[in-house]
Amino acid sequence: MSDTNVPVPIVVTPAEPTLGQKFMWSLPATGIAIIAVLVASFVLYNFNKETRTDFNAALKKGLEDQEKKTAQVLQTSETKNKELADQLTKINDRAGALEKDRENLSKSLDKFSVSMDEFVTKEFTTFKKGQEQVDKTQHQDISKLEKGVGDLDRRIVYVEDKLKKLDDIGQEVLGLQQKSGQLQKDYVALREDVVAVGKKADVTKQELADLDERARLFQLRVLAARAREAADAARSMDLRELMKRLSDAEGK
Amino acid sequence: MTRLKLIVPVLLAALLVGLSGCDSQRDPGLQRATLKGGKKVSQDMVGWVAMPGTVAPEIKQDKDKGVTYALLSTDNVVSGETNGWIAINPKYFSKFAKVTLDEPKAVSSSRWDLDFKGKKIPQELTGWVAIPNTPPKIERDPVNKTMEMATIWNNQVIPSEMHGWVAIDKDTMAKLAEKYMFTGPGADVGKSK
Repeated sequence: MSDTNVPVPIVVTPAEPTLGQKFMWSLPATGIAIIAVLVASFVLYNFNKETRTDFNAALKKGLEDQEKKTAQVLQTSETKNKELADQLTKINDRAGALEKDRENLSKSLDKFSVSMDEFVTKEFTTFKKGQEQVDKTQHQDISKLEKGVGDLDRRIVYVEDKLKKLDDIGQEVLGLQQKSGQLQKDYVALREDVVAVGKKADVTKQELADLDERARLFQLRVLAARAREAADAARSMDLRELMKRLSDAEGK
Repeated sequence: MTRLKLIVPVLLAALLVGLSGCDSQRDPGLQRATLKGGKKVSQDMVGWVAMPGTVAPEIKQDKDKGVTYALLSTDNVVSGETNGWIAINPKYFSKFAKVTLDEPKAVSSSRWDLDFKGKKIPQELTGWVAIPNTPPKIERDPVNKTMEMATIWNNQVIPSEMHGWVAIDKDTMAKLAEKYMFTGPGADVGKSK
């Protein structure tokens, strides 16, 4: 049952509009939109005009208030600054006064210290001098006592020593070959005087000095005599006698 | 007669040699003889001593002290120059005269003793000098052991125990002694205290 004459439906695909076609189609819409925007803007402008005026007034007022407050703040700040400066000046003055007081106090303290030092030094010096004087007096007393004892001791030792040495010289006088009668007489006299001085309690320094000088002169005479004898022994080649004399000089 | 004149001096000379009793040559005027090897020691030379030669003590001078002295060595023979001088132990002399002495040189003695009659003189001793062996007599202090002295005479032989001793003439000794007597511990009696 097929019929070949039956028409076959043809499918036609509509063509895509071009960009120009699309653009041309939108122009009226664009114009309408612009007009709509303009209208809307006009309406909105008029609608907001009052609000804007109020806002500007409020803004202006706010600015004025701000300026006033700023001026007040400035004024207050100046006042405060002035007060602070005054206070600072006062503080500085006070600090200066305090510094001055401190310096005065320091000076006073120094003076006090010096005074105290002087006082202490003076007192100590006075005490020291006093103590030294006491020591000195005591020392002098002891020295006097020691000197007295020492003088007495020395005199006793001196006389004993003198006697011993005189006896030594006496032995030499007796040992001299060429016996000198005068030397022996002088020896005896000198010895007696030394013994007498030794027994004397109140022998003076002058007496001791005189005795010493006499003994010294006597010794020189004996020394000269024995030296002469030694020389004579050498010249005569008496060696035994020479050695005997030389032994005297050796202190034997 | 002429013969007699010749014979007499010869006989006298022979007699002189015979009387000397020595087969050595004697120095006239001196107790000294020169030995001849092979001869014998005569009686009168017994006790003598012979040495190669005679050396006199060396004379020295300390200019600072103004002291002239002889330095004795073993076997020195005292000469006429130092005859009668006084020899002193050097230790004591240094102290006594304040003179610094040199250390004495060591010497080796070469003596030959003529100790008995008839002793044969060896040939090698020909020319040696013989002199009487009479050493100086040393005097000693009983306390001070260094104080020793001796007088030295001409022709004496210095023994070894006097080696290094010093000899000075008696006048120098007298001056030094006189000066020394004013020094030392024995001279301080009576000084001021």
